[in-house]
Amino acid sequence: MTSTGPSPRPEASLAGWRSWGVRSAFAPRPFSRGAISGVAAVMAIALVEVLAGDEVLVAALLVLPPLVVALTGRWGDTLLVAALALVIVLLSPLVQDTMQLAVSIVLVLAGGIVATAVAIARTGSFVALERFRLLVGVADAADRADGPVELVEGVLDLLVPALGDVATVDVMLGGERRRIGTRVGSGVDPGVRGAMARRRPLAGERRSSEASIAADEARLVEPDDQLIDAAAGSPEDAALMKALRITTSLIVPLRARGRVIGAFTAAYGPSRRRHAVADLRFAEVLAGRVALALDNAGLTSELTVAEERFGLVVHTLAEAVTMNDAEGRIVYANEAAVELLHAGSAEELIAGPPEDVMERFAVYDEHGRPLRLEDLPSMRLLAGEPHAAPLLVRNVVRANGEERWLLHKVSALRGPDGELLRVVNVIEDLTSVKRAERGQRLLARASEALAATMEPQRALQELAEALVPEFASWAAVELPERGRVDRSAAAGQEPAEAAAVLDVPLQVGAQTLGTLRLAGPDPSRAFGLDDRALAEELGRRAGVALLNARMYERRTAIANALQHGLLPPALPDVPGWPAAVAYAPAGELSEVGGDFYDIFRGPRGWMLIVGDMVGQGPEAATMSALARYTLRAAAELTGDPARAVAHLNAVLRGQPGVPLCTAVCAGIDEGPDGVAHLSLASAGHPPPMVVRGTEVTAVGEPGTIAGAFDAGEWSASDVELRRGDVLVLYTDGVLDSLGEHDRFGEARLRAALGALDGPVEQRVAGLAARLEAFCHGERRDDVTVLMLEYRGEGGAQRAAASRRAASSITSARLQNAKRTSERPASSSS
Amino acid sequence: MTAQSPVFGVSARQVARAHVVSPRGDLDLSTVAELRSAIRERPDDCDVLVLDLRDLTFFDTSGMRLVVETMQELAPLGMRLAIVRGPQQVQRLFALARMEDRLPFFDDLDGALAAT
Repeated sequence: MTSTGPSPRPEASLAGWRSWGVRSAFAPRPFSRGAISGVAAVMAIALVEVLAGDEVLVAALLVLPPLVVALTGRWGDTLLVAALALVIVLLSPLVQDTMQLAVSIVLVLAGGIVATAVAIARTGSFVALERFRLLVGVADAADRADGPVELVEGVLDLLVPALGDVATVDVMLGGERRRIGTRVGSGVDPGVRGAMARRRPLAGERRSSEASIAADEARLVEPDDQLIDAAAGSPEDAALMKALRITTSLIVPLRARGRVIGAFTAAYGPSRRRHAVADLRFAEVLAGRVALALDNAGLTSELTVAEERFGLVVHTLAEAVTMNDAEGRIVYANEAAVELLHAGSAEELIAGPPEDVMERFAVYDEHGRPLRLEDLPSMRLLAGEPHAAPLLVRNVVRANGEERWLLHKVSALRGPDGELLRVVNVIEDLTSVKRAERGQRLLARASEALAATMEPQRALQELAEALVPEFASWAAVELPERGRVDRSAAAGQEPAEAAAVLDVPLQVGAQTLGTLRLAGPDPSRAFGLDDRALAEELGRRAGVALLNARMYERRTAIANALQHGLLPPALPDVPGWPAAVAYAPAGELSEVGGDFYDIFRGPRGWMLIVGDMVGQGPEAATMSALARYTLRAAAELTGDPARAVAHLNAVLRGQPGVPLCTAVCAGIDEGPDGVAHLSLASAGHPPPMVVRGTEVTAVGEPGTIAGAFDAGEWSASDVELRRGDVLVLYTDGVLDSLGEHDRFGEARLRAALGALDGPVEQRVAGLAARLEAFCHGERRDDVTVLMLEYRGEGGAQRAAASRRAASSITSARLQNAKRTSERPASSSS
Repeated sequence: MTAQSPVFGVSARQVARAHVVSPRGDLDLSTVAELRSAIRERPDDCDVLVLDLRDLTFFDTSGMRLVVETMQELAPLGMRLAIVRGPQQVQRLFALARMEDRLPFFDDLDGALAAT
């Protein structure tokens, strides 16, 4: 402020010659027609003096005209008349008496001085009045004006002709001076107005408004031709400006709220008046008022424009927008808000208290907790919280049960001191998003439920339970069954009224498998269109799942039937040879594997086979059936294990791929002396064991694996068995069973067999238990153990009966072993 | 130690015109496919496949089937198979299947390569 203070002003010296009188352009010219009347009056009195000859009276009369002029005319008129009166007195021929003359001179002189002083005082008060009128005028203009443009026009009305023959108003916009108003007086060429409007910016010229604004300093300048040439937009403009013959020009910055917002200029030309320093001072005062008015007008008009734009933008916005004032009253609501809040019109919303609006809805948060009006973000801002986070609410229209998901977002409009003026509330309708989200979740859950099992009945029950209670209070599936409707699944409470139930078909293509029946989740909520669409989708999925489950059921039935044909046979009763078997295929879903065994009667006595088709799954199972029947047929026909194995090789070689098979085939020749001979042929099979007491012996000779080569070496070796001996045939699944650190192996097998005793079924079960204990993780290969005890004739009946029971037990045990051993592995992963 | 068999892996490299495939760890039904891929993914300019079984810790009939399969595949291609003997457990299985004298076994890699 101090650096831009008003003094010293070099420009003041320009008007310095006016060192007396009323130094203001507001002062009227010193002379007027009043002077003529005064002079006429003085001359008339001089004539009376000549005629009447009474000089004292005349002198007294000569005092009157200056006084009268002083009361009505200008100070120049008064001075002129007073001077004339004095001249008349001095020249008066009537005065002989020196004393009288002196008295007359003093009288007239004194009267003239007093009259002139009165006239000057009157002019001073005129100037003061004029200044007051201007100041009031600015206030009036600010009051009347609706915007900055009108206000500028009002200010220019005041400036011309009071403070200049021409005037301009400039404002700073975006750092640039912009001329927003120009005015020329009545005696000025109208073309000057355009010339002034086109004035070029003058950088570095201290007599320019740019410099005055930059320095924040009011200036009184006398423009010369050079300045006009520099400032004019064209030579024509320059000529027009020069024709004005500008005497003085005021440049006054407009300063409001501590910053310079522009400047006004006022210049005298045709009127030949000049500004005084006092005018510059007054202009500064006036500029303060103008600036304030302009600033206010600018502010209010900007706000008005902003509000109008806000209204235009917001009114047609899809999001609902409401505005509350500081007291919480709704002062604005757009069309979307009117619709969303179920009001007839914005006026209805604005008229009523917010509580009335709130009462139309049941409002809950995301977790289902009821919300009150004061929980809403807008009300929390109004309650004084500095910020309010967006809030997602479930909003149920009490009138019709319609459910919406609304996101309330608020922002505060605050005044300069931070006081809350308005709260703008934007309500976004997220119902469709939320519905879609919930729909996706429900569909995912339903699909999961339907996929949980391949049993149709259970799948439908899982579905019903998945839908209650979130989607429905009751869900049931009804399927037509032999002409009547059968309720296959149900969850929740069946509604008393049938009207509340939504029925959707279990649809697969054109086929309708049944009906999904649903009751709404709560009485205040009806199933909407979205819910119906979702229910229909659920129906479709349930239909597909049901169809798949039924198909799976049928296929499984077929597979089981086919598989059954491949299953190992029940062991026949072999008198004097109690047998027991443990058989466990490795496949998860398959009950048959690559292992096979059989006991049958050959041409020379009982024969047995155990084999293992390399591979797994259905392919191995079918090939193993082929191998089993081939081996059995060949053995049955020839009674020769070696030839049977060779035949197996030949048959497998004729098969596509590399159907590799290990097998052992044995024929029993029971002698009369309690010694039996076993004719044993092997095709790459693990050696059979003979258990005699605790002694375990591997028997037989290796033979070429079947299916690998066209030729091979297969010979039958003779194994002698005594009563009580147990022949153990097994597949590599036993040896290869994976434990925690290594494979079960032959050593463990021998140790286990040596430690077991009792009937064969007990031994099989014992070996199965050891394998179970040893096994770690998922069993990968089929496991078969077939034991045959040479007991001889006699105890055959009893042994056969117990064998049947043991066979099924050991088989089951191995299955269990597999299941339990899986658990730690799966839980540790 | 877990229930998992020792980590199975296969490395393959080319030595002269030999594609040398070296499986290591437990070769069984669950890992045989990996070895099958390694055997089949061989460069075109090979005329010998060397199967180096020395680093196997387990071998069963599924591995044996792969060996037979490989031999049958190579024959029509004019390629030969050479197998470097594995540990005792591996060789025992070949013996049991009486395949020892029907397959081209070598005691070490140099032997297998030299024989080519």
